[in-house]
Amino acid sequence: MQSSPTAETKKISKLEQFSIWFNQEKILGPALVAPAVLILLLLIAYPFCVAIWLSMTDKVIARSDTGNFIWFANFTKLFKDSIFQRTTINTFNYALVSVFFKLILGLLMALVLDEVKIFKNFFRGILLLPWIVPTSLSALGFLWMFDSQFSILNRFLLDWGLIQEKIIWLGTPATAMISVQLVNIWRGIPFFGISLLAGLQSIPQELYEAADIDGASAWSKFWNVTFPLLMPVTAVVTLFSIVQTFADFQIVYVLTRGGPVNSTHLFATLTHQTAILAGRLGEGAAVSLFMFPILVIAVILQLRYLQNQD
Amino acid sequence: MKERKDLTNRLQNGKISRRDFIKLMLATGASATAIGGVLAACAPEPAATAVATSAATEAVAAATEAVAKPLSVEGKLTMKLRAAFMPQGNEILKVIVEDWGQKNNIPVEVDITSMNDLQTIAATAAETGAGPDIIEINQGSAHLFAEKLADVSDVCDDLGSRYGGFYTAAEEACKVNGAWLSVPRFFAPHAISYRTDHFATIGASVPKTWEELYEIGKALVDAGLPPIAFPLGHAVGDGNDFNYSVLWSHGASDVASDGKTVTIDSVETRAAIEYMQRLFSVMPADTLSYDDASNNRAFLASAISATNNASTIWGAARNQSTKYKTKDADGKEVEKNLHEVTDHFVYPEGPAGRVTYAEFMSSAVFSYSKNVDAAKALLTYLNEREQLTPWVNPNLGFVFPTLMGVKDDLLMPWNTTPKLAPFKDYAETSHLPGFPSTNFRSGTDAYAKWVVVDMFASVCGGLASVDDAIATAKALLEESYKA
Repeated sequence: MQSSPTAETKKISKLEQFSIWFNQEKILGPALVAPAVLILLLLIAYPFCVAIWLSMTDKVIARSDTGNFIWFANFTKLFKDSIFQRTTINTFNYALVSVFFKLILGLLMALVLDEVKIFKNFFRGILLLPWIVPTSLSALGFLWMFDSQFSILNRFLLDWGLIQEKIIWLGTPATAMISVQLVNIWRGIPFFGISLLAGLQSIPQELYEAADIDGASAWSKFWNVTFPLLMPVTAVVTLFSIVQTFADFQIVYVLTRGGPVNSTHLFATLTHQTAILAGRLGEGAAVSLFMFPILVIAVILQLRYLQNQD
Repeated sequence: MKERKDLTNRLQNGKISRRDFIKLMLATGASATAIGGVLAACAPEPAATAVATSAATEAVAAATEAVAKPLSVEGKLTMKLRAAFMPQGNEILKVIVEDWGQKNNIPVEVDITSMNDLQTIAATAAETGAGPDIIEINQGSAHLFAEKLADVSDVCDDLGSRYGGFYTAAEEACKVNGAWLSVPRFFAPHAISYRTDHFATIGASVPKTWEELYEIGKALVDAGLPPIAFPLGHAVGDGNDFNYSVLWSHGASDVASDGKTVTIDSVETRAAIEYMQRLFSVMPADTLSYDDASNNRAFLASAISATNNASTIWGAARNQSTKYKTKDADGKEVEKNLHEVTDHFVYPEGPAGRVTYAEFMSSAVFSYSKNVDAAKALLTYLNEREQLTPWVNPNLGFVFPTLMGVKDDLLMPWNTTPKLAPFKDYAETSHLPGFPSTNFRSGTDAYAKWVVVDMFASVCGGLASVDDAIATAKALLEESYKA
């Protein structure tokens, strides 16, 4: 049975009407963005607002009452708390040193990978491994490597005559911090390496050819062509890395639990200890929010830089 | 009977897995008690627990009947239990729970997980009001989660009246304002594991006091033998156990009996720190980085001569036939079984006698649970003698019952195996952080912050002077006990 021609035109025109209406930018744009915004609101904005609220209450875990509103008492208390003071220094030390080395070594990795012409994908693949392996698993592997009795690192260093006696990697504040930083750097290099490699490959070859004609040295080509053109990618990658490293948890939790004597506690591990183990949600939220202003400053600096580039 | 003997032979010869063994034995109608006894005896050195086997096989008690009142659950009865370090103990526990589920026609889901994960699971469950029906929680956590826990006083009163009451530490941990909010489950009792051969070489006998232990440590170093080693790192079980025990047995404490006044700045604390510094001088420096597994590894590798631990070092050495190297009469290097030269002694006494830290677990039923009655029935069942014995026995001393009346049972490992005897009286001298007060809520807070461990560690590691370490601890404790 065929539908009458008039009905069909009517149907099509209705569909068309909808399609014309939907294709307007002011409708289509928001509609496409809506799912992402919804997810952000639900998973980022809502918990974030709750955390701000919690940080200004004396809420304790597993109590029915929502806690008393105490303004900034948690924050002022933290300023006087010796563990928190130590944690702040640790977090800055951990993040800044790690990101610095990740950037330098990641850049080196990108430059080398860019030159590799054989088995290109193979090398890129295996160098990405540290980044792909779940952090807690690789941290467990490092726990063995740093073990005071059976450390393979010590074994090599002793055999090569670089040290005279065993280093107690996780037992003194300085070496424990270096150890957790080493793991973080090891894990983060591929992220920098691969991102910067993509940046390198987007630099037009003509610029290098022009530089060659001008008789530029390798160093001068790097400094005058590669470096400035790589800067936007570097800025974004560094921003991401700073955010992630400041909020790091797993490596320290697995390797030291913040010890010895709180010398490797980071904001995130102290938050876990305060909010979950000691049950003081309000204070724990305040610890985690201390990261926030630092990260905002980092984001603003980077964004401003990118805008200037445009 | 012949069938069971065959199965036992196959287990002993390694031809059948423990899990299959338990299942097949149950199928022959053997009681869990008998199976537990065989499992305990079937580690590589059966001689030590031969008593257990014969006694166990004779004690084939009638299978426990299902609980009279029919139980029902909504969905499944779910639980998260702490993994013991003895695999055979976890296996039989699972079977006992599943067996109960079958008898009562209740679907059960048991998950055996590590202690550190349990605490996060419990905190999340308490805060969100959703999660497993039963969660095993550690130390004084019942005080932390009090408002979200179901009252289990009827279960505890019933068990207590039948089995001689609970130990003080169990009551400290689970009784909040007069009501039982968690069913005491087990202590992981500690003693000092030591090398009998090294002690013999220097002519040392078992030390009665901390002072004597230091002398032994010094003699071992002087003789060039592996040193004593006690954890000063963030080792949840062993670190707290050792450091709190040293503090308390020197007559010091973090808080007064009123639960408010911080008493860490005392002559006794100074004496304890002074002692710890001396002890550290004869210990390897890496004890500052020890986690709960480090001392086990070091002992099993013959790198240390003594450390504090549950019975698991000896148990693992026995389970895995760990070897150590020594010289025979002709001076030839030979390998021997480590567990033969491993023994235990009770924690030494300080000026204030023997006071020890309780490493303790209890089973909490969360009030969000729709299956509170079934959970209570299961917890009663699990802690009855008939089910307690087959589970405690193959754990070879790693778990210690919280009911006072069962420790003298013939089948308990410390009564069948002389090397486990030092664990028998551990629970009597044990307490929770917050002792000598009853403010275990704040005591747990201070414990979570590692205040006591870090106080000792910072002085031993040269990070702080005695005065500074005490001042730091005091400030942190005042925060904890203010709440």
